[in-house]
Amino acid sequence: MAKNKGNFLKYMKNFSVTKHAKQFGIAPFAILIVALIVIVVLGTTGLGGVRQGSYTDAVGIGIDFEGGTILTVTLGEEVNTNYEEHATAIINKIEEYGVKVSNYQKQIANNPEQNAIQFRYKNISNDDDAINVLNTKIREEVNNLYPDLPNNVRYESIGATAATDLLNKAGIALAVSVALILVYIIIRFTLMSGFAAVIALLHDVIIMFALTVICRVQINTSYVAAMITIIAYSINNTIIVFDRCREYLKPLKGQKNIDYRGIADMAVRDTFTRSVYTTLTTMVTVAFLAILGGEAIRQFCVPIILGLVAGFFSSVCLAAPLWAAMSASFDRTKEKYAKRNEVSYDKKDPEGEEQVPAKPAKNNADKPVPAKKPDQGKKPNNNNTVYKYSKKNTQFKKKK
Amino acid sequence: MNKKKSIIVLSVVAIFIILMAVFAVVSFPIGDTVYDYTGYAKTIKLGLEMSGGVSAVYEVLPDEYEDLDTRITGTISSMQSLLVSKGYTEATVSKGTNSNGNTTIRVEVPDVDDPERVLDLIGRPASLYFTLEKVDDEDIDKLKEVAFINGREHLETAYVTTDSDGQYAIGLKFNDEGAKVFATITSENTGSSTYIYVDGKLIMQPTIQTAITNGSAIITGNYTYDSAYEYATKLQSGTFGVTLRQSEVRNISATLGENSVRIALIAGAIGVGLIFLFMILVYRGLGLAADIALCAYIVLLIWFCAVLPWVQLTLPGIAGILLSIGMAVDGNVIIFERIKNEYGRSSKPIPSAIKEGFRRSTAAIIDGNVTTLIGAIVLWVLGSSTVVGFAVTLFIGIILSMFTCLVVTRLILKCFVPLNSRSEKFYGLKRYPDATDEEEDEKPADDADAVPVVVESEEA
Repeated sequence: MAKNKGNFLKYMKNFSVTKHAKQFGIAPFAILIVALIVIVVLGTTGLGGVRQGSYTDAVGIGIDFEGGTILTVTLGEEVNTNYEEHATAIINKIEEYGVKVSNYQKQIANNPEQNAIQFRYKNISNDDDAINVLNTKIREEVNNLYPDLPNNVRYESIGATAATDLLNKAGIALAVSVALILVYIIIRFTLMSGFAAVIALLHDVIIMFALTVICRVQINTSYVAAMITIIAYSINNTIIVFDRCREYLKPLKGQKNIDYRGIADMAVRDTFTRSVYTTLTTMVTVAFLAILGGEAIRQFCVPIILGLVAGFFSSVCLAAPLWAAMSASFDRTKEKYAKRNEVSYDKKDPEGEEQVPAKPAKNNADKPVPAKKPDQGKKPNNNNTVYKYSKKNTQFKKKK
Repeated sequence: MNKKKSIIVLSVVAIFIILMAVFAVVSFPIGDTVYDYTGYAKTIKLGLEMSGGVSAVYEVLPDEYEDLDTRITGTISSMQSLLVSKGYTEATVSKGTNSNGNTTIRVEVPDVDDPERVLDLIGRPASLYFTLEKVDDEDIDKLKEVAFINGREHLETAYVTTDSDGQYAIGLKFNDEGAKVFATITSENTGSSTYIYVDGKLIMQPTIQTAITNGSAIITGNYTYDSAYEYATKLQSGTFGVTLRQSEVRNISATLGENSVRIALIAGAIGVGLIFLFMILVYRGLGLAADIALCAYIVLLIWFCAVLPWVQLTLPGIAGILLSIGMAVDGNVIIFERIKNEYGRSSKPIPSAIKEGFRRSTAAIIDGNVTTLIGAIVLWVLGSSTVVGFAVTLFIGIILSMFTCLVVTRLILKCFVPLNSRSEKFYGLKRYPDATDEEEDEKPADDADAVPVVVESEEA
């Protein structure tokens, strides 16, 4: 690696993710707890434009899913000449009543006198009467802005525009694709790779959701797509790391006590440059869209940016250590069962095998996350060979 | 490949990209015909939030039947599926209440300029009756009396299909009750005519040829696709379970603001420009090859988005595109990091390092993309209308990104090799100083490079 790559990348070249797995594991939980606190606090106190006691508001469920009110202000030709000015003035008026305008748009009729601007906002209460009272008040106030145009404001309450089954179907699609992806990874990689990848994927979904709650981003139809985008992106990232694991594992097939953590560290180091580059190149376009675009576009880009960070984190810091820990304990369980069978069916088993059953079994139960140490009591030590794996020439050196 | 061949291949690729790019944006009249050629990039359909469209509001008129709410929901989903089947995957249909307290159905269709078109799309909500005797036009009461099939009660859907000879025909699917009634009537009256009335007007007079007992029928005649389609839409609109009155039809503008498309394009251009720069700075000659491949990727992606009917570009669709651009770049980065590695740690010449780099990264790229592809396909099949557009964009993007990094980049690098096979500087490659020494200098005590892989326990 060249000097201009910066110290960070260089530092990462010697960084062991598995050693810091515990610290990494804390971060998602911390985020999740903060998100829960935000939901509970906002939901119970009704701060920040949230209906008191409404947890869907506290989560930030948008107008697409919950419905709200459409306020139509007929302005005639003015709509074409001073659209933004009128829109801003009216939005300011509406938002004095504590509601937040989700979006607004022009309405052009065949008769130009009927041209209008329509605003959509989520209702602030659950009670139909209260909604009507508020909307009537808003209608009067907005009407007062235009003394020359009597009765130019009307409102209409609307239901959810997102097809009611959008979330259900997206949920089903998500479950089915996770299952299929799991099968694919198990076929192409190992059983434990599949589970580790799926856990990393679920992590991304949950963390992205938590982060959007914390950042108070509204959850609308496009959010569902943003989430799926992130899942796709993150699983791809994870696969690239596992590909390296698979490669390092290949010559070791059938060996016992494989140092999965060492392999995981190497795989993460090997792919780290690539993970950083890819995240940056993907993020740069989204970031510019967020910077240049208006409020609505930003609402869409922010979750993606957050998700990219979560995806990067999970595939670099979580997936590989998880895989290492799971693979090691899986191997051990397998071995344990194999030995148990051996012991029970073939009791006269000679040399070295007799001390096996009780002790390692206990060790495993106490320590689900395997360290290298417990291995020692377990194996008969007929030889003191250590295989060293070297990047330089992919061969094993025998060392005394 | 020799030099001459390389230059030819590179020129062909360059001409292809330039032509595709030019045809994407230019428009001109086609000589000797009345048709104009419109740049295909301009024909990409845009969603409501990007381009605006038409909004139509229907008031649901109270009627004497029960279960109004269920029927409204049914009508909404039937309108929605009608719009999706016509390629308007981003259209929304929602229920509301107007100031008079009446229920309304609001239909918003993106990328349509003429308000009248929306009525052609969902059909004018109508009454539909099948009778065995001729009734005077507009005599609704008589119709109701003699009708054996009532659209809103018996018919599930109507669609365009083909008969056994490949002629266009109109397919009808009845619900359980409708199937029963239709079976009795058709078996008793084989050979006689039925009369189909939409809004009290006779529109068709098909003859019953056989008894139809399974609830699906087709109406044949010398239909063209267009005429079959028109009839199917008329019949379909007769299945709406409620009586609707159109209360307003308006053009609406983009909710993301007037310039959302321009902003998206500018952001995309800046982002892609930075990516190009980045690739060239980091990977030099290899990066150049990747940039050429990315150009090919972008023009192909735009072309596919323009020709495939399900693509209706919305914010989610743009997310799909951004992600697939990211993955196209990613493929190249994976390959180039491999090439660097192969070259650095061995004494291979540049061409074989490149070849080896491709060989060893192919599995990773395919696995990574296939998992994403699985997600896209599942979403395409199972997702609701609004995410279908996104899934299709993602699907095309992934296939193309795999194609460009594994095929196009490789082809271009193959062409670079005969032109310049030695220059480390051009390819941005470097031999590592002896790997072991380097690692041990940096971190002698740690397991940075020589990781013990099989621990057969030293100490004990």
